[in-house]
Amino acid sequence: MNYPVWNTGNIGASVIVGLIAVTHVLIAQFAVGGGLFLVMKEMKARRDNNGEVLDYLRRLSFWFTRLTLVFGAVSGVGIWWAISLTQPAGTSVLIHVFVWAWAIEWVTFLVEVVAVLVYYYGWTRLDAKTHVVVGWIYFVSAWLSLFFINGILSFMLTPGDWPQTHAFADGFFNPTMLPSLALRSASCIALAGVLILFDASMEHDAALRKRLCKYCAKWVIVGVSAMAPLALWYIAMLPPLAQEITLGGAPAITIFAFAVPFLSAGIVLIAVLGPLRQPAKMSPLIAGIILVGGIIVTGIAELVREGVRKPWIIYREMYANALRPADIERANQQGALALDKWDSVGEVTPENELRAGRELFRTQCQSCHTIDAYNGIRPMVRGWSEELIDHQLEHLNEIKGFMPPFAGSERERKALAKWLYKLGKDKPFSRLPDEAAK
Amino acid sequence: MIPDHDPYGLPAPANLIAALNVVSFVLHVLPMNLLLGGSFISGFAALFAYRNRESDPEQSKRWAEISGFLTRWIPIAIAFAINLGIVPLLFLYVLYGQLFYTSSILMGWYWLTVVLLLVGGYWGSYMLQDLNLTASRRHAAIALSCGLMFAIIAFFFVNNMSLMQRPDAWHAMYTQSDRGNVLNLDDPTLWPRYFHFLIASIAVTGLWLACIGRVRSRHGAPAGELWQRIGSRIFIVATVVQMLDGLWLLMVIPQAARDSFLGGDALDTALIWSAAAAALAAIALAARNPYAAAGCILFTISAMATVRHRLRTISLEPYWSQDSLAINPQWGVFSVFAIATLASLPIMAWMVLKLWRGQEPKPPS
Repeated sequence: MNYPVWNTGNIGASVIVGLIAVTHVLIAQFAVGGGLFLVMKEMKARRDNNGEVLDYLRRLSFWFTRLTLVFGAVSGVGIWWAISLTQPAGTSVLIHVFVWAWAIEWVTFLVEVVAVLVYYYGWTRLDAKTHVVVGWIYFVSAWLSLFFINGILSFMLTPGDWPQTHAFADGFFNPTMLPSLALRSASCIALAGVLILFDASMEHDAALRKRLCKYCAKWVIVGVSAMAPLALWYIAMLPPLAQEITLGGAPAITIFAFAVPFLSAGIVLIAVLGPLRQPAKMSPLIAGIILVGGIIVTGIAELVREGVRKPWIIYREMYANALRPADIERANQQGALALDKWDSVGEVTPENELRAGRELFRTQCQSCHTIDAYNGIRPMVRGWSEELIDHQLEHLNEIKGFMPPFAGSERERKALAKWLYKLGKDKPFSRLPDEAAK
Repeated sequence: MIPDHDPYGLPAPANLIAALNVVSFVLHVLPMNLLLGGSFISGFAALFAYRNRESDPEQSKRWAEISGFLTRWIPIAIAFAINLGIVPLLFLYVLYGQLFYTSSILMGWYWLTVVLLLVGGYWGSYMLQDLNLTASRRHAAIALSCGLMFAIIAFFFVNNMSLMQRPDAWHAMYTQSDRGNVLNLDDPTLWPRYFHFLIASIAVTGLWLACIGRVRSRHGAPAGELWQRIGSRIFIVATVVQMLDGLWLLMVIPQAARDSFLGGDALDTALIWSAAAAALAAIALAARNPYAAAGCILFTISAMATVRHRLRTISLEPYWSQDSLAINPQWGVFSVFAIATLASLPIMAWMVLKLWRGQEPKPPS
């Protein structure tokens, strides 16, 4: 309403954000855990005077640096890019409330970039002690970067007392901040184990491969196992509606939520039976299965975390379609199209009602729904009568707790219902009712 | 028609946010110039090295050295250009969010493509390091492709930064297409603005080569003098062209801004013409004393970044003013940011110095 809505068609705004975000979470958490792995293993190898392991770590740091800098840093910026395009109003709140937290996070990121480059270029140029110190500086700054992002991210789901006080500290140190930080830290360790295991499984030297695979397996097992109790802690701190969505309220989210512990247990089992018990027989195939499993679990867990926040983008502050509760009240009285700065319809008339329906869909539904693809609306309204659709819209948040209420006048609601009804009658991927009527 | 400002207001006075935006923009522009100009110069140097590989092996080797040197530094420049780019963008969002979110959405797909192009160019520049074939057509092709990707990124940036200054054009653009496929092509400032960044990148990279050449010839490296000569020549030619482009830009900016820079406002006028004078001085000094020229150019870049801010402010005056924004300062967290910044400086300096004084005589490779 305040900002124009970017119409991404059937690609779906949430798909764009989701793809970039999951890529970033995987690499960024690996960047933290992998940093700890490198420096801890380096210390041990230096104590044991083990040149082979040191040589392996030097090679590991080569692709570690590239992966984290090229894909980690850029995908991080990419999330920012994507959310500012798809959720400008929500992004604006996060930026304005937490600008100095973002700025501090930038400082930690800068130290992280300098440290990872000095660490990588320093294998032959720095003395052992300095190199290890640089490794620790890298890990600490990478983890601090997680610390600051996590505070802002967890705020979106559990803003705590912030809606009343609007105080920075209340928003940042919110109820899920600590459990989420602990959970993500454990995930960093697990992902470091998973990714490095895959690399180590391709090592030519059999003795070195055996030794590294066993060590990586421990990281996977410790990281994943620690996540189980931390996840329970996290769920306990969720708002009631989010718990309900996780435990049955929204079937798709519930299925995914329950898939996470089962898949994680599978990963631990394979890690115990494979690389831990029989590291000598470790092959890239088994490591690859663990890697794919780790990527899938991370992706699903992030999807669930985003899903349980529905119907909000920032809890109790802004709905997923960028409307605030106060906007909805105003729209109910004055009409949603009248408040929409980007609307070109105005008052609903019999002539323009399909176009009005389309515009209302764009501002109120399209942040979560595409027409025919991800969370597609056409298959959902197929076979419904216009009256049933209108009834659903009228009681949207009561019938479906994870959806925001419809905002606008009765006339507008009926226009949206008519547009959706016509949409449902057409074949998939056919022209939209308002375009067809032209 | 402009979206309402965020209800939580600015987290510090508008002028402080604007100052942080300008200062950090200067810090971002320096490595950005090196990666953009460096990719092109590295590509052409590789091409010259390849062409002369039989007719003049000595010459070919020199060009290959230049290309190889740039290749080693470009990924590092990219890392810092991205990192230091976050700060000006963050403060841009804080101060101009109402304008900038809107213009970004209008050109949504183009704007998102920046991320993919950046990954492509970044990865390509690492590929160049691994190939380590500086006198080859392959190196030239990859380097020039990277340069092209970076140049397209710059084009999208200039589109967005100029489109955010045109609220009067938005509604018609959005009514025409809500698909995020609009560019600001009918803005007369677009092309001269864009060329201003491209040419500056070539100039700054040239001057940097000249400075490195100076360092090397002091250490007795035979190629040092050549690098200084080539670098300063690139810088001088590019800067002369840059001045013509600057005049073009001055002619097409809004009347109010032009008046302000041409005597209407004493400070604005002093700013832009002292920046131009420093660039002239740099041209005169570049061949003999590249360090002094670099000092002049640093002044030019800083002053021009401020001019850019003034141009934005004046262009927006009919529609928007930063004074209209509510302020809700958060001095406590700001202090933590200031302390964190100050504390990080010695840590980073320590690491870089340790590496610098490390045993290998070569620059990082």
